[in-house]
Amino acid sequence: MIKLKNIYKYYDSKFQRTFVLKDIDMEISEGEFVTVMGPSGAGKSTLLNIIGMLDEPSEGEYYFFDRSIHKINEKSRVEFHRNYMGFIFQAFHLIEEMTVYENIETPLIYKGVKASLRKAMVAEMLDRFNIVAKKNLFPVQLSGGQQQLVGIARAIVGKPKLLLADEPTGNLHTDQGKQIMELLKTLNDEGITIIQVTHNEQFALYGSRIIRLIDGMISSDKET
Amino acid sequence: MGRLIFFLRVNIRNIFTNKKFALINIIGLSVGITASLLILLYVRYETSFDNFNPNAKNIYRIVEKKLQDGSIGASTPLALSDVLKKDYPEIDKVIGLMSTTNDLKVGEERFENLRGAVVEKELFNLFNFPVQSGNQGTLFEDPYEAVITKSLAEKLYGKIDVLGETFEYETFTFKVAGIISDIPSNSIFDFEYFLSDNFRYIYFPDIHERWYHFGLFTFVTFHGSRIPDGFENKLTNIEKQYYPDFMKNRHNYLLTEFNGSHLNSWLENDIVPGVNPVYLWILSAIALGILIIACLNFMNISIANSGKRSVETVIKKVSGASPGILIGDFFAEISFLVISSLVISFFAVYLILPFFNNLIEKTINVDLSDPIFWYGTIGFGILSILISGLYPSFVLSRPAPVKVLLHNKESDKNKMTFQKSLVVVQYTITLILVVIQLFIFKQISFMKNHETGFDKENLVTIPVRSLGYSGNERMKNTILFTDMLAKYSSQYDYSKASVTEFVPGFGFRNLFKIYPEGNEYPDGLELLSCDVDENFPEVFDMKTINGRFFSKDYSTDNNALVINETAWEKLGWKDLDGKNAGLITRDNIKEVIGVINDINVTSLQYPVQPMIYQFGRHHNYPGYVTIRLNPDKKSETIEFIRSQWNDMFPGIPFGFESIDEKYRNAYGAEEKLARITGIFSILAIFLSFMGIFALSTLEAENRTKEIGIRKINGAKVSEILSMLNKDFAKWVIMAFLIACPGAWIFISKWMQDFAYKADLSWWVFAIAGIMILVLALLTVSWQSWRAATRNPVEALRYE
Repeated sequence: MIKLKNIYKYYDSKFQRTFVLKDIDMEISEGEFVTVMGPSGAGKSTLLNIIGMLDEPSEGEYYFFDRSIHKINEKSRVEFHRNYMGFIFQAFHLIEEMTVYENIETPLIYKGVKASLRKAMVAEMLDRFNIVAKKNLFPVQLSGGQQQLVGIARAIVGKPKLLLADEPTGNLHTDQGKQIMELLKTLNDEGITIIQVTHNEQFALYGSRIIRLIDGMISSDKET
Repeated sequence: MGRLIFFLRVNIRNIFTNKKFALINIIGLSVGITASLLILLYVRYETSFDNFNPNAKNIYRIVEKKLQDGSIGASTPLALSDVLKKDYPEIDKVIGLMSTTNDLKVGEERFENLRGAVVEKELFNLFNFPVQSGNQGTLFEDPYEAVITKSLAEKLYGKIDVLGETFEYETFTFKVAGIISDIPSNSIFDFEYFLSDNFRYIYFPDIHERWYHFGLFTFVTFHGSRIPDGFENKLTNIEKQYYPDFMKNRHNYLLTEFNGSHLNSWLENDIVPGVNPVYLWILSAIALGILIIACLNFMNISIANSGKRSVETVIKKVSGASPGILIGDFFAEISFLVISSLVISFFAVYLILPFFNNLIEKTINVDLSDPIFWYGTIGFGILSILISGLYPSFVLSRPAPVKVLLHNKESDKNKMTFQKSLVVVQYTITLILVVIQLFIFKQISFMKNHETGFDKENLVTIPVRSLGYSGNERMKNTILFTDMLAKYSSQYDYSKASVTEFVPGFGFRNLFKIYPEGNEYPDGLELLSCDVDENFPEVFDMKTINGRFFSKDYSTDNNALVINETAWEKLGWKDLDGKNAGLITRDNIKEVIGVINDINVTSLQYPVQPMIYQFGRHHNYPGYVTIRLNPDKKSETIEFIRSQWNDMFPGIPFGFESIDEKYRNAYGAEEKLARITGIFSILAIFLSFMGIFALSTLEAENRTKEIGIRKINGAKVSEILSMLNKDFAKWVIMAFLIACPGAWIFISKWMQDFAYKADLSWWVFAIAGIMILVLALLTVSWQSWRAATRNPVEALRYE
């Protein structure tokens, strides 16, 4: 599903080139649950952003379902975002001016889903995450765990193939974190490929494979 | 569509959660659009004169160009129209219009100062004022027939059905023979009654000789739509064939289109004064400036908020929104705000229009059937949307998701720089307006307070033209009147009375040529002339510079001239010994007996012209009787003179004017401009301060954490304040540096038209700059103070 070949990411400043990622090679198949771990500054988020097409590698090749992403244009990138990917963030990043319902609805609107179908799909999500009663509340009225539930609902409502989670439990306490990880596990069992970045060794074990990064390089890549 | 509605709903909610900024945005845009609409209405009004007339493009005006100074006047000699009718078969219709402002009497009731015209009945058809009742075939054959407007009918008789009713004009009785609808305010024909053209032969039996009497507005149409070849040239025959010698070589006739003649600022003395298109451009520029300030406010607030919104943008992006969609959403939001503002402006225009009319002394209406009004409205809307939205929409759609997600603040600094350069633009516009405003005031007060060459205080002048239709009768009555004045002068403590043809402040209207002996001026020297009496220098407090003034003791003074200093300099004479000059013709020799000091007889916009004074007792052209009153007895003196006048001349209305006031009122156009720019400068200041207020609020919010950290590390409140205010001050100062040359260029251009110029003093610039800077700092400090005095613990908790 995902194939990275000799990916480099660096920033040029006046006299010096700072490398964030160095020579990354990896392949991820459909249905995997991959955890990316490593110390701060190791390049985890950058790697995730490149995979999520939010950032571009400085060098190297990236194939997504055999399409070469490194030379993709804006228009097809948007198509990939609409149809294949969902994102979850550490800071939840819900849109504050939107209700829970509207936040979940947003991706469907960009996808151009018809109103009646949209209603059904959002209702299904609300139902599944037990937040029907909160659908008209605004993000500030929810607890962190609830906000992340909405974040996940928003990420998967469009039925993506790939779910990218950047420290999804980083702002949550342990119980809430566990709950979220269980949920991700279930989603993975249902067939969604998941790549998560985390610092938490315990939550890393929810993945079926752990990739460790140190100083922008892969130091280990193991099945759990 | 569904998407737009969805996001519009969210964005409207967004607008109303940020009440302060929403208010600033909507008020700002509404004020900007309202100001623009008002100015659009005004410009439209001035440019639409008589455009309701389908014949307008075939109508031409004959105007006169003075050879002396090349100025062009709308009024032509009274004798002209009959000659045009007689000698020029290529002309289809000639309309010769004499305008009048006079009182009408119905029974014993007097209606004062009504505008009317003596004119051919063809006017009504040609200029599209259909006569609604009355016998059109024979209309105006009787010289005592009149056509009046409906509202005048209401005013005079209290009804509209007034055919056959009569009114008195001076001593003549007119019969109402026709009614027309009121004439639209955007017409140069600002009349309420029209008297038969045949009346002019009764009023001026010698009208065929009146080539020297200007007061006829001449309109012609030709057979066919083209001007016959060489027509203007053919008009020169009139002078050869009919002019008395003294009128020759003074002017030419020009043919000009009737369409757009209201915008010919070079056309002087028109029925309704023309408007200088430059003023319309100035106003349009001001309107645009205010709209830009309002839009920049919007832009600034949007950009300042973009930090908050960038997360939203990124989420939308990762949810599959393309940049096009994001920009579209943002424009939808702006459009909503702009359309709301348009609706508000629309009502505001209706509310404000009466005051605005008052301000500019016009009667402008909102004409909803006028497409230009709608184009303008839509145009302002689109312009506002584009200016407000263009840059922010790209800023908002641009952020690379990664940077936002990684909390990369790198771009924030650029953002602030850009925003502050917008502040510079706003303050430059505001400062230019303020500086211009101050200079207009300065120029007006300079002209009002400038020496005019004589003492204007307490001078009161009484027009005496109404004392008789013939010169003899008028002179006889005037002498009766001045004798009466002389009798009571010690009782009421006023000066001698001076009888003059014209008075300073009202302008001298006679232009004569003199031919000084010697060869300096072979073609003669043209100068203003005024008949005065021996009391003139004493009453007006003027100085004889050389020689002597007229005296009753010398019978030869009836045949002498006194000149002013300017004429003296022009003539270049060393002394007055035996100096003679031919007046009007070379042979009409007059002795020049004295030189009197220069006075300004009109607005100080114009320089002093060379002048001659003639001893007027024998000329029978008395126009005014002027006396200087004791300031403590002003009103009782006037009342006494009024009662004496009413006893002596029953039925003739008494009038008087203060010369001082006449001078002060001479600057109407400038004062009107000052009032308009004043109002709009205040609006511009208001909007700029709203903008800077919003920006400082956002800046304080964005830097809450920084301020907290600085305070924890020992920064004093004053240091925080100066940190926050320093930048704003810097940008206002920069705006000042840009505004100064801009304002300077504008002011020197405007002042070119004035003969007497106030200094372009540096301190006026300084006052404007300091005033705006202080106000800006006060505005900014409001927010800075709050941010600086906040408990840092509280501030830091939010991160």
